[in-house]
Amino acid sequence: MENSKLKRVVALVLSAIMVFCLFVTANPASLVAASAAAEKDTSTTDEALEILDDDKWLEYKAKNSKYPNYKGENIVIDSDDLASPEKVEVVEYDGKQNVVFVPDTGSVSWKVNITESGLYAMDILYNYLGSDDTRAKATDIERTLRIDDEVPYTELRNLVFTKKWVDQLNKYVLKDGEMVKEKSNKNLSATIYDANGNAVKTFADEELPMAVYDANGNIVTIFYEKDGADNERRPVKVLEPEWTEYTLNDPTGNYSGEFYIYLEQGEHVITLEAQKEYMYVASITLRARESLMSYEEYKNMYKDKPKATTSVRLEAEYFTSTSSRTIYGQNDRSSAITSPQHPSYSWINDVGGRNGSYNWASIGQWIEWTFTVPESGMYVISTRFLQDALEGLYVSRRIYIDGEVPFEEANNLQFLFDKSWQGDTLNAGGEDLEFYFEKGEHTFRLEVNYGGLGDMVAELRDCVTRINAIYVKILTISGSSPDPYMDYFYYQRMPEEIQEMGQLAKRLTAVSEQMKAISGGESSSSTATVENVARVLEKMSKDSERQIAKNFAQLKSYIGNLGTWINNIGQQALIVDYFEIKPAGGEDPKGEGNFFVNAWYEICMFWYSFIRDNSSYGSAEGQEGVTTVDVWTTVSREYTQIIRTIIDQDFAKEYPNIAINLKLVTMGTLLPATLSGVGPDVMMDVTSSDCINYAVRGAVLDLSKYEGFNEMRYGNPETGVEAYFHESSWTPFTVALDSSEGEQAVFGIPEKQSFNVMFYRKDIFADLGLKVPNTWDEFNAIMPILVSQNYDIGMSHDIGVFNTFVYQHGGELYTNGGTTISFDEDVTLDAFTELCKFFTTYNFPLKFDAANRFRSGEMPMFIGDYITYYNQFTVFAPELKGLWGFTTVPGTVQEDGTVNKSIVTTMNSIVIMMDAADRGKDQLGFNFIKWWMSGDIQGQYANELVALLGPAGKYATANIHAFGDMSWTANELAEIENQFANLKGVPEMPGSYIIARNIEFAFLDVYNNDAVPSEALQDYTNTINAEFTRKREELDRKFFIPAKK
Amino acid sequence: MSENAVGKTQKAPKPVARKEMTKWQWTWKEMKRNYAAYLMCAPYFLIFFTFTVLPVILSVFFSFTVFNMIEPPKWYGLGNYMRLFLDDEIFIQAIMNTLVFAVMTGPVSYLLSLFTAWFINELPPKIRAVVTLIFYAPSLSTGMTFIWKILFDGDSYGYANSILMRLDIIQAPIQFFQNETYVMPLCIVVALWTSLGVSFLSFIGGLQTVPKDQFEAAAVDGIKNRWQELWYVTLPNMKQQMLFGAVMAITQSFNFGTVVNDLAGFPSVNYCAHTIMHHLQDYGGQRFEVGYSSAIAVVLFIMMIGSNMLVNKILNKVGQ
Repeated sequence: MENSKLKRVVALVLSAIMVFCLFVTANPASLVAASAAAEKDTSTTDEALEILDDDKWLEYKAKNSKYPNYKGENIVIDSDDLASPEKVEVVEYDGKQNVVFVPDTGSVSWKVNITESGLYAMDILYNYLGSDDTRAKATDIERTLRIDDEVPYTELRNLVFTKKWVDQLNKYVLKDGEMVKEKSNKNLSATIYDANGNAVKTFADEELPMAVYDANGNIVTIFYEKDGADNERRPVKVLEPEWTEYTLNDPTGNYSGEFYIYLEQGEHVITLEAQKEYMYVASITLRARESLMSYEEYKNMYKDKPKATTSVRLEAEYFTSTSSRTIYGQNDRSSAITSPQHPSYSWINDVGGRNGSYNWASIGQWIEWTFTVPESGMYVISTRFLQDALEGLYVSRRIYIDGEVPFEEANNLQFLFDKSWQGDTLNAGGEDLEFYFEKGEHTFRLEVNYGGLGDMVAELRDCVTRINAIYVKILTISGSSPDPYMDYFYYQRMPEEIQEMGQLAKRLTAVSEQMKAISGGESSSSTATVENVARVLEKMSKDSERQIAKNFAQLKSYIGNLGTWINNIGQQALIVDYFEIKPAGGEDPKGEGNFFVNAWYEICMFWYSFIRDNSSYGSAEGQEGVTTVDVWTTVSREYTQIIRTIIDQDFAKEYPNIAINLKLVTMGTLLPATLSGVGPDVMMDVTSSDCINYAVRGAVLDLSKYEGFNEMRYGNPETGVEAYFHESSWTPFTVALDSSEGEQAVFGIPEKQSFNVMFYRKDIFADLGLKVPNTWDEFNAIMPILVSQNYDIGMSHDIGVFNTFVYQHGGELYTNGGTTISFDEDVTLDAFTELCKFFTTYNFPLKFDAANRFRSGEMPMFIGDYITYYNQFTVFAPELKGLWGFTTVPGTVQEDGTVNKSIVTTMNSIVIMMDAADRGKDQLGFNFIKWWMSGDIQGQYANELVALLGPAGKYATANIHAFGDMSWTANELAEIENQFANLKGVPEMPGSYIIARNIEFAFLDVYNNDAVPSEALQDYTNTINAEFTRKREELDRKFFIPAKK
Repeated sequence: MSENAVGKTQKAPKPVARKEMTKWQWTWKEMKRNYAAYLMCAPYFLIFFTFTVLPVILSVFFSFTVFNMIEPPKWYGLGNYMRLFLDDEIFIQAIMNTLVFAVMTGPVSYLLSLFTAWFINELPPKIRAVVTLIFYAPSLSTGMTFIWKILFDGDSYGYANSILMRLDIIQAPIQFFQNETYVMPLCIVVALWTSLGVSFLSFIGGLQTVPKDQFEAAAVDGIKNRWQELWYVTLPNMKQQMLFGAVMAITQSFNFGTVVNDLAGFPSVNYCAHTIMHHLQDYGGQRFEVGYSSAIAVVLFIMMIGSNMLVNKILNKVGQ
């Protein structure tokens, strides 16, 4: 760091000299260029620069540990200390007066007067909105902490404040002599018995889910709600506001223990800058640092306490609260002895996630349990669990007892790998941990962290970041495929980097040694991943001139592997079946049942497979007064299951008279099924062109006539419902009948909406001092700079991009109400010429693997579909986290100076088939669509997808209100909203298939044969118009594009 | 009385001569006599009729209508055929392309299969098995074309482009599969590569069934060289396999659509590799014009039958 500061100073001096020289030589042209370069740095890249310049916690620690620890009283900062109180809302919330409301954008600052220089730890007492507030979202709260407007170290950029999600359960306490029978085949009803086995009380369906407590206050069982097929339905989760104390620590989980900040004597400003979600802050406390005692000390402290004699068994699925809506009790069928277990019915019997799951697996997620011990004493906590996620390593949890981490070792509870279930007692290095519990109620919380892996992961992350920087440096020197026989003078051009490569190789080797130590000295695929990179780097640094060019491609793939590996290790999946809080020395829970138990379980499963149909579960089919609506979807199986679950959980409650029969099909099935009259009532995932194709042949219904349509489209101020979608989403599905002025019909409800954004590499832009372009003029201005440094720019030439240019020029794709194409209009031809220019004049690559090139840095800027590539980069390039961003596609400057940033959108829709009207199910189907596309449900769906697929599961819903519920950061959300504001829907007309292919032909003619763009495109006008005319003659229904009002 | 009469006729059926009955009566009588045979082939016949014969008949019917799969068909007479031959340039191009493909993958690949099989047959059995697999593998799966796709990828990282660029022969990558100059030749090469399929295997099988004693007899009769041996002994013995191979080759050559789809996309640039199959797909699948695509199918059907008859005639000349 010192070194780079020195470099910066030198660079500054040098550039000053250069500018001075320019003045002396008085070359006006270069003067202008220099000042333009100085102006380039603006906000978007500022942030990136700032991130790149941040110290890491380790660096900060190294620099500041020389200062003394603060030893005095706690300094409490509250609403009286606000820096600018007039701008901040101070309210009463959840039982506390004068708390500061911190909105989800902007920042709030407090002033503090420090009398004693030193290292301070920090606590923040915060709260959040409850589920009853419509602004509350399902995501965690994120804030950036600034001290005097600076971020002390990079970890403080994304502080994560979790919220508490609680299952909505009713409560029943067993009276003396009452009991609950163990769940079995025969005993599925929610009944309480007396000691003689007579039923005393049966809970009605409305009273469920019901948690039954014994007299001591421990949960005996939970009677869950059942779906139509008697499978257990998980309870609804709500956000429960609670004043929570947050101690400043590492949100990335790499370092255990509390963070500190160094504050000098004098006045300071503490700022919380919003990233995500609203929060309330009651106080910020600066206090002396505390360190945890060791387990030895803890044991010593309680050495006089007696050993417990009783034990408590606690089913893991009976947790009290979780940090996320998507952590819930679930059903495990893999083991015969998971309790409670049934060979056919789906009973909720564990909590957590298997390998690949993102539930209770990401750093910082937690689950909390409550239990009551009948007597004071020393207890151990045993558990039956399944860890099949990290082979060769362990999964780690941190335990909080009654809200505190009791001792240092509690930070690193290890759960070893095994393909089957295991039983073990929480331990540290083999020694079972004993905890002291007073008689009465206690809580414990298990939080996902890296444990002992944290340091290694941090070190590897840092290495990867550095290697990436070096990679990009080499790229600028010798391009993406350097010639091994050419001299690039690496030694002269990047001496420091070459030296650093050697150091990085050593650091990586050290990490791999550490990893070997964990697995008992053995090499594994994990160590190989690290060692490969080390070996290549070593070669490159020893004999740079020959080896860099030779191994460049290899390095790229190795960094990728390493990044993926680091990402995987961050997913610490674990499932827990139950806990036993019991005296030390007892037997550990059994992992798996014995041979006979397992065999019997398998036989029962086999038997039930004949008598119970588990595939058609969930609907109240066959009951009186219930109508079944057939809904078909084409998404994958996992997606379908999630949709099914949400229907069971929510729709079934809201519309008890409609049963949904959800089927997964391929799109090709729809046509024959419709033809033979066995098609669905509602079809999901229909592209806009299919929608219109079906509509013009009379196979789908005009939806604008249905009850609730107007509310969906325009909102309803009376009920407080806002319009579901952006107005542009309706365009492809809306047509005018008879003529442009004629009556309008809407044939589809928008479902998915995607559009292009511009992705860019922040680090490369910052490095070159470039500003992210806002207009095509700016885009053209930075193009030569990027190209001169061997960088590529990526852009597709498909109809979507073409349309974007057309709309930005103020044109339209169709003319004459949709009966002709606009290929003979100047605007369209200009737009096409501009598009072609990028590929012919500026040599943009026509075909490229965007993810690969963006990751490697070859292509630091490219325009593509926001959701596809966002997901791809998140998974594909975890090592680049924070180094890339996206923004709106550049706009065209209009004559009046404004920028037209229009961009076209591609839509998928849900339609109701004509058959539904014959069957009288059209309104019911519409109710389903209206429910499914509502903001809440779409938000829930999106979150479930993320929980299933991880950060790459982002979903491009068309509902604009659902975005807030998804885990976008405030910045990303702002960019998406900006782009949303400029969306243009392209009308869809019968015969539109002919357009895309002819644009492609025209484009290839230009690209391959140097044809003149405008002529090439114009040639196809007649072909397209002829096809339109033919279609109009063939079809009985005539569609037109509605005239603009 | 009447019972007696019936009994009498049963006991002494009056002999019936073939010429006393009409053709239909005779057939019906024979069918009744052999009812067991008809019963046994009924399941197959029903399935074959429903799924093979009926669609052909239906598609002939639809070719005279305008039909969009959803609404009932409307009678259109010969309109579809008129449009097909008089007002559809792309169809004419498709016929040309189909014929080119048919000639290349039909006769050329047929002869190629035959000679490769003949050569391979000369190898020792163990090596023969391995070599057979090597030659047959490409046609095992249609997905194998992805090798060509990577080889001639339009990305600058595609093998061909990458090598050409490294040698400084070209500056920017060539879009092999999106440039009219390259699409057809490449597709033909790939077609030949994948076409050593079923017919090739049947030839190898056929070659091994030729009785050894015939070669000896032929040698005694004065066969001078291997060519004569092939022509007079080997080939006449494999007529069945050759007919099978020919039918397969023809069907394949007319159905040659998927490879082009995989390589050049659908539709290929400026319809330069558009075949009748593609045209059918385009109208049936994308444009929902089943009537028109049925007309295309009928034309294709007639072309295939015609060429099959032609091949039959040619094969009859083998060994003469």
